[in-house]
Amino acid sequence: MGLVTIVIEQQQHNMLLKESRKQAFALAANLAALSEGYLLTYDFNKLQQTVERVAAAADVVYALVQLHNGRVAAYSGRSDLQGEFLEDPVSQQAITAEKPLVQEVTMPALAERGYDVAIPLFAPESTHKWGTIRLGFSLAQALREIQKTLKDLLLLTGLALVLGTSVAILLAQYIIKPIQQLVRGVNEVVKGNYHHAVTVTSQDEIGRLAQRFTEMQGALRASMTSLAEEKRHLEEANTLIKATQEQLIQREKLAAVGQLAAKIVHEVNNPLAVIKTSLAIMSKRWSDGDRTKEYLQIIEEEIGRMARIMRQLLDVSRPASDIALLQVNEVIQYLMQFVAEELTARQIESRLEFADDLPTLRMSLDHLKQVLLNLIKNAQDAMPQGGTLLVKTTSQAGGLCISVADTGSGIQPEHLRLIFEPFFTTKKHGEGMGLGLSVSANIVKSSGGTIEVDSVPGKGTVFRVCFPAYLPSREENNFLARGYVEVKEE
Amino acid sequence: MMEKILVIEDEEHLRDNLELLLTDEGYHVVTAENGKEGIHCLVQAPFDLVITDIIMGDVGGFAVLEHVVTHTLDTPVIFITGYASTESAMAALRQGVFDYIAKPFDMDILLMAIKRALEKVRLQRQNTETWS
Repeated sequence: MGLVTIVIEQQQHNMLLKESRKQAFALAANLAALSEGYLLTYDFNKLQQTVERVAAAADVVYALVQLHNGRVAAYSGRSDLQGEFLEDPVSQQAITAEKPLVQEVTMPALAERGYDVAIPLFAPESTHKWGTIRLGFSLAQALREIQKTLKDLLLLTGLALVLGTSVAILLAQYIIKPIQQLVRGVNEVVKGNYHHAVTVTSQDEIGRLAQRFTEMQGALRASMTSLAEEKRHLEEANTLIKATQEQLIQREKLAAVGQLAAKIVHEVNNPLAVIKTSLAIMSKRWSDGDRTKEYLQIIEEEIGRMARIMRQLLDVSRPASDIALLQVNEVIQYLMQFVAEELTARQIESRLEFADDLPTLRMSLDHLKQVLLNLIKNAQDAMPQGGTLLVKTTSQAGGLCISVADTGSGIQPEHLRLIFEPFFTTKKHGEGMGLGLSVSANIVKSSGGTIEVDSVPGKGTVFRVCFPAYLPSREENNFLARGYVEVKEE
Repeated sequence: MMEKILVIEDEEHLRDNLELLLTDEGYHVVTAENGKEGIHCLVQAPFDLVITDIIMGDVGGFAVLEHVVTHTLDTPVIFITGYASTESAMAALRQGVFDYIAKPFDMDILLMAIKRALEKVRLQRQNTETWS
């Protein structure tokens, strides 16, 4: 704005000075035309009248005529100078000019800027210089004009500045505020907050940009959500793979242990059979009252114990049959048939509480039976005086739980953390190897489940086994709906 | 008449003990070391009962049982095994074994099974004679 003002002022200034110069020159030319005749005839009176008349014009400070030798022929308002020489440098410059000459001077009388216009006059048809016409033209008026213009311009500039600034501030408010909101929104997105709302409602480009930004934010939010979802799925799949892998390893281990145990049992059973038959032969050789026969009986009993241990070892390490889809309630019902007689004999009342909405379980039927029989057997052993056995199934988020509760002697708190350890037993020698619970826990873990125990000494014990549900395919569902359950006959 | 029992067992001592014990009980006992030898005995002469181990080298108890069944012999077969399992017991019963006894066994149990088997074969033969 300031630059524009300066340029305008400069142009105005130059234009006014040019006009003044033209005007000064025109006046001087007029004086020359009026004075020429009088100068040729040396009519000084007429020349004086002419210069006085010309000097009366506006802005003319002086008008004078000098002879070719420099003497003053006429001088407006200074007739006393007629015949005098003018020694000042401007006059000296003027009288020597062969062509019209304009000098910028400071008027001595008024201390104003002005022009001194000198026009040499020549004799007709000759190059002989006859004299010089000079006119002093004041620029005071022009400079005042310039000053005024400058003042007006400055005023206008000031006004424009004030107005411009106000408009700029208003515009800034109008434009920058939404942009700032957008920037804040972008920063929030960068920080990971996809819920920061940008409230720009204008219909201009910024408004459209804000609208697009909000859309983009929504799309980002959606894609972040789906990414998170995807990540969760992947993590779940990963966990599942790991669990399955561990189950497989565990199953392999169990199978290997089972094979080894079976081999050992077979190998040991043969010599035991030899010992036992040998004992039978020896017993026949001794009469009933003989001490030796008593010892033989002890040996035979101990052989029987060894055989039982062998059988238990075979039971706990039996390799699993194929994995099947199981309806747990039906498996329990089926198993209870086999233990019912013994439970009744031991005065144990058995109760079953089944949840109707149990999901399908996918594991080896042999393994499930082994775990359940083990828990039932333990419960039975814990109630030598009789009691109540409660087998209960419950459905829970993503799986199912089976609890086996007895009203027996309970487990001492110091034993609780040991019961799942292999070879830990509180039973009498020969009654158990302490492998049942440890093998059961291994089976449960290898099927992705958990086993826990809660016991109050003197009141009873509750074992709770939980398994993840198997989600069957549609075909499998149809199959299951027909009441199919893989329970092998024995 | 003395009943004739074939004992097929690869464990020498057990084989000898069984021979002794069953002879004491008044049976005529013939022994074989493995299935192959056992089948050879069955081809050579008739027996009233076969007691055989299941796992014995190349030719085991199941092969002996198969021989008895395919040759429509009326001889009952009793399996004695150190590797007793539900699966093998069921397979044996399906294929027509008379009894299945796990090692180490009580002699009383074995003698009881022998008695029942011989009784069965006796009745069977009696019936056959009567009808023919």
